[in-house]
Amino acid sequence: MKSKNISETIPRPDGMAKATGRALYIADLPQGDADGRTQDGGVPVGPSVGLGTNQLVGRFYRSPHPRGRITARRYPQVPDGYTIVDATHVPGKNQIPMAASRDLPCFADEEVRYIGQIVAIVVGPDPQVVDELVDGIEIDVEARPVCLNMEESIALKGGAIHGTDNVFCRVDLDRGDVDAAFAHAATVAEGVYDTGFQEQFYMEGQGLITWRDGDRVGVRGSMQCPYYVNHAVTHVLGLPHDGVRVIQDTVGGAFGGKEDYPEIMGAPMAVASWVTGQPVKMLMDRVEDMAFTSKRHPSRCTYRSAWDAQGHLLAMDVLIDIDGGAYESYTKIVLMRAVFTCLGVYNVPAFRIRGRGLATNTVPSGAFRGFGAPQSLFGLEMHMEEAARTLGVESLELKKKLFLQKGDSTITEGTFRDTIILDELVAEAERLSQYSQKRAQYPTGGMRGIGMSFIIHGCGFTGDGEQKIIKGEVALEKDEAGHVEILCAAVDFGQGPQTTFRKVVAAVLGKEPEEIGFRYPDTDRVPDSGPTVASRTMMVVGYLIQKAAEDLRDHWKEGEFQRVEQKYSMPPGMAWDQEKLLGDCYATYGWGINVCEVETDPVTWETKVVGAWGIYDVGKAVDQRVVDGQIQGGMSQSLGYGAMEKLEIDHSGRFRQITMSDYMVPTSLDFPRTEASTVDNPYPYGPFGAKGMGEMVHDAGHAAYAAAVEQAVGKPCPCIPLVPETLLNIMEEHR
Amino acid sequence: MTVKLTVNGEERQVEVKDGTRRLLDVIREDLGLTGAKEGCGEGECGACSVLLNGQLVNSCLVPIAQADGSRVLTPEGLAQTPEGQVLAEAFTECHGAQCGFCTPGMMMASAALLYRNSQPNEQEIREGLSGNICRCTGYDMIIDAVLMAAQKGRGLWG
Repeated sequence: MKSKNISETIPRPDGMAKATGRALYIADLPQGDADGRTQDGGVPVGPSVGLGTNQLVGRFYRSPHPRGRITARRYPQVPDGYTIVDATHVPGKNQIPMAASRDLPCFADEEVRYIGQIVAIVVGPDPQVVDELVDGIEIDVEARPVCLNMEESIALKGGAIHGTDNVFCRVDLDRGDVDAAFAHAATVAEGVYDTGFQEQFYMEGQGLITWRDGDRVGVRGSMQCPYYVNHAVTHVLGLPHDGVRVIQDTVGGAFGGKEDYPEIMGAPMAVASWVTGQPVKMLMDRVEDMAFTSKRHPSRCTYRSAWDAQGHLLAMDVLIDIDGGAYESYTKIVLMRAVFTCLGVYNVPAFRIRGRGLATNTVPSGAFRGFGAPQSLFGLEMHMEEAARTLGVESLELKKKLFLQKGDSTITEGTFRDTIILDELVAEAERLSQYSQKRAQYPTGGMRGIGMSFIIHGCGFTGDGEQKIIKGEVALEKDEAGHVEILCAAVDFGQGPQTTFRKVVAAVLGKEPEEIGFRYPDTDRVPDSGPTVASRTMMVVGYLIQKAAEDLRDHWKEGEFQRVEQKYSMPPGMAWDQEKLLGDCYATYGWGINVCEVETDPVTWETKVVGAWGIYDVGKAVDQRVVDGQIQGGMSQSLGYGAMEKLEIDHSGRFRQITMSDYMVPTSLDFPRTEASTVDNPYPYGPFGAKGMGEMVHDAGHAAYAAAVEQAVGKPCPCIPLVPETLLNIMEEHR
Repeated sequence: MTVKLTVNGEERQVEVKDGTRRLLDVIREDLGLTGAKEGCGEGECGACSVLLNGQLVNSCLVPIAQADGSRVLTPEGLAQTPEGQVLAEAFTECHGAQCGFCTPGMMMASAALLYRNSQPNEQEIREGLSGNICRCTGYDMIIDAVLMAAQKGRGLWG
């Protein structure tokens, strides 16, 4: 690279293909072409990879009943060329294997737990006939009362859905004598903080093609984690790992929403291809996608804090409940991140934290950018506002005294080993937003307010997950002519590895980024570098790529084919006990501040955002514009989460908002420009000092927004989204 | 029925059984032009934007019979023009495209705006793009791209 500074931005290598309509998403792939036609970034397309003219259309038959034991199934007469595939056809195990659970069946067999649960798949050549067959299927269930939310879950309405108590998982942490602290406290602050469902709203709906090739099966399409799909399909079909080929096509957004669903959708499709021997294509329309794919876990956090007469924090007592929906799926890992993040950037001398993931008869909740952190950080940051009001001090002053410092213990009794630069971030936030000046200037209840929230986000998998579970591997290959290609399973769904990984390799090898090859992953060609999740792609996989490039540079042989490989190993000194949840829960942390300024209309209770700022320690930005794009996009999503993205369920557990006109996401007119800034704080085990940052940009914009609204209206606002009706209710309650 | 269209400057005839078939499906399936995307199918997201006789429309809402005899410009056609090239380069340089799924529609909406107002300010751009949803960028870098295309393409937009 010509530039010495890796942060200096470059044009996106995938930009022209996307802007000119040349990039091929799963719905765009041509059928029946001769093999070998290539696409930008993707693997060659042709009949041998699921695109033959014998492709069938697939549609799911989903349970119309929310809860009960299946007593009968009635299938219509099936014409030639059409097939109904269900649990009886599964050659392997009828379960979707996920990182911490196996309770979700591939096809509902004995019982259904939510409306929309997949019972069967109908495949055939004519979409209209397939639809008619789906409409002709019926199941009978012995119905039981529907459990709609966490209160009903705790009350065991209709009996337990899961186990004996509806608790999928618990995560509890303790430090010091919390009861004694509360007994001696001069002041106790308390509050209950609620967050709702949130829809990922990737612009491209879920879509996959599966096919059979002799004793092997293939899956291609829109996904975040090709090896997760590989693993799920091998499990369900009972095939060896090399018996399944998974290919990523251009992905039109994901945000966590394509972490579990391509497995949930792809495994039953793969069974249908296995049974029929033919390719099966399924593209979800927006309504099916919104109605039945995983959403962000709703949460209820209860915070109590004890303070002495001088205003020092003595202890916190925290309850975190999250709504896992009908099956556990990723709930335990989401809960772990919610709990491990729930004390934020503060040093809390004693605490008792009780976290639960609860079962209800709704669509299983899943992954969404932030993965538990946006929920508990909302509770924490709003509670700090409450505590500051109770103590009669300015919340930023209260928070500053509690800032974590290098050498402090983490929430799991590990150590913050790296320099923490919260003071520098505050200075930058003040410089850009004039937060303190405005905060002091706006009278409480004067319909204008400004709020600030703090973010900590552990990078990579929790604890020793990178070493014990993921075991990431990457490779670089150089051909005789000196062309270098990156081989890893990291997916670019917009967040930028197509740009940043190329820059890392180019910088090490003294080449230009566009000279470096990096195709979309195909599990037949690339090693398993792990899933594209958990703010791990740049820091963990990118670092392996950097090490591999250094190895190649140091052993470069002109005119020869060379392959170098790198495997993950934990940074030195890191230790974790998964049984006791003690030690370094993350290798390192990203840090950030969000500031939001609002004006509220006292007649309509509509709130207008007039300023938004995001200031972060991402270690080192490998491309400033990639990072700023994450900051701005994440702010837009988190402000949407806080202000407008209302997603409710009806009396039978179905989502009420299942179209784009009902579920409101931000347009270009809703929020002003987000001013983005980063402060360098290089991390020794990240590429060029980079840490993870893709998720923390969604961790607390909603908390800054709610804090700003609190100042504007002069009342506590402990629940989001703060749509006008909710704000009106808050104002009437306090009148 | 036979429908005549001028698509990206080329005269095309399409046989359709049903005149209510969506223009989006005709251009994607019959003409193989997959640049316009289906994001919602109900005219809310703008991913399927094309220019119909110079006007920005959601092609998922246009029955093909209504487009008979019309000029249609798709993202592929726009890309072939000098102004489309300037816009695409600006989106690439400003990182106005992340996942890229909304991008062809954003390109069409941006072009429609610049054809009628070649030097828009930020607020005019926000209004011009308000019918197109992007979930990745928060819109800021898309606006940067349109500003850059307005400046670099000075004189191109007529």
